[in-house]
Amino acid sequence: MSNTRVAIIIPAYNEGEVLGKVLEGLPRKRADSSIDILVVNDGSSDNTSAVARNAGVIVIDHVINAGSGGATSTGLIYARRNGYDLVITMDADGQHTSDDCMRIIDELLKGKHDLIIGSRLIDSTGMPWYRVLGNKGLSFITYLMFGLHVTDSQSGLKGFNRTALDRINIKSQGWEFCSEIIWRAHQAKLSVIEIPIRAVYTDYSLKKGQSNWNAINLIKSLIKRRLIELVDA
Amino acid sequence: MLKYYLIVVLNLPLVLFGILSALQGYSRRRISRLGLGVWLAFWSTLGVGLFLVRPIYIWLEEHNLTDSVPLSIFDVVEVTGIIFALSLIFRLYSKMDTIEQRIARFNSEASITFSEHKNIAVGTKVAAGKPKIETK
Repeated sequence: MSNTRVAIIIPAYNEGEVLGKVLEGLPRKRADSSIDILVVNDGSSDNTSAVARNAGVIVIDHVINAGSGGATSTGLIYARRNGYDLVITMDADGQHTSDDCMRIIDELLKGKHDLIIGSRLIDSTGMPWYRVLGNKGLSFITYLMFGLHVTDSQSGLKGFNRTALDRINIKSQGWEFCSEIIWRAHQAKLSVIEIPIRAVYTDYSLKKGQSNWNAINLIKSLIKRRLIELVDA
Repeated sequence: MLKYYLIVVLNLPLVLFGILSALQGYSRRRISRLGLGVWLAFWSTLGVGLFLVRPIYIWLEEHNLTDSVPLSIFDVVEVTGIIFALSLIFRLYSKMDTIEQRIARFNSEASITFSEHKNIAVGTKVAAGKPKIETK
């Protein structure tokens, strides 16, 4: 694939403190593709939007705060509408590295798979044990509910090719969208693989990320979504 | 005896309405085949249960498995209320979800449109290249 257009979608809520550094570390161009970075500012009350604009990336400011799923969905709609060939989603808190992002693009460019998940749990070295436990539990619940096993269902670093972009429409507004993406991919019979990634944990990212207690709300939301689609799709 | 007829007469329309709604939802592709199965099983169980209230009570009494009084008017009202509330809850829940989805979609669309205008106005980067196509 030559001259491929890639969009890196970063949903962000009150991430002004670290967003500038995250954007600085991301490449804007590759030999085989052009890269646009899109920050979806999910109604932040800090300077997230200004930081992103100053970094020279595309910015979408949500009119109302929708949640990480809603912000990711807006990014996917934008990418679909503007005809991007590949899309990467990543977190704004700096836990994903630019190298892993590039590896996912490389993998997508091979054209063998539709959805690529960057898994922090294939090699969980450096990840706090309670995070490993929580994420493994959620991956197991995702498998029980949706029938597709992945090691890290909650990873924010994912890659979509055009087929996946067209066929995955997420409805969840909160954190449960990560599991929903896996469900939609399974429903659409897309080819999904995981590649190991390294997550960078800082005090900031640990403070901002999901706690294991949030997992209860996440499971409730997933059950609600599953039931609603069962009785009224 | 009249109360047993009453419970059937009051609730059967609700059960029939539930079954018809499920069939209509399926014919309009609003619910899947599995969803239709779940709804039909739910409403049919309820419908059959209504007709069996008396035989079940008699059987339980004969086998000394209950010492409760026979069906009262209050029971009839209570059962009818529960079935009515159940059907309302399901419908409200799904309507609420539909509205939530519409608001979310509106938020996305409006945010993209406003931000595109703002990005052009203030000279922030905009997506360039291919024409805008929305593929479902």
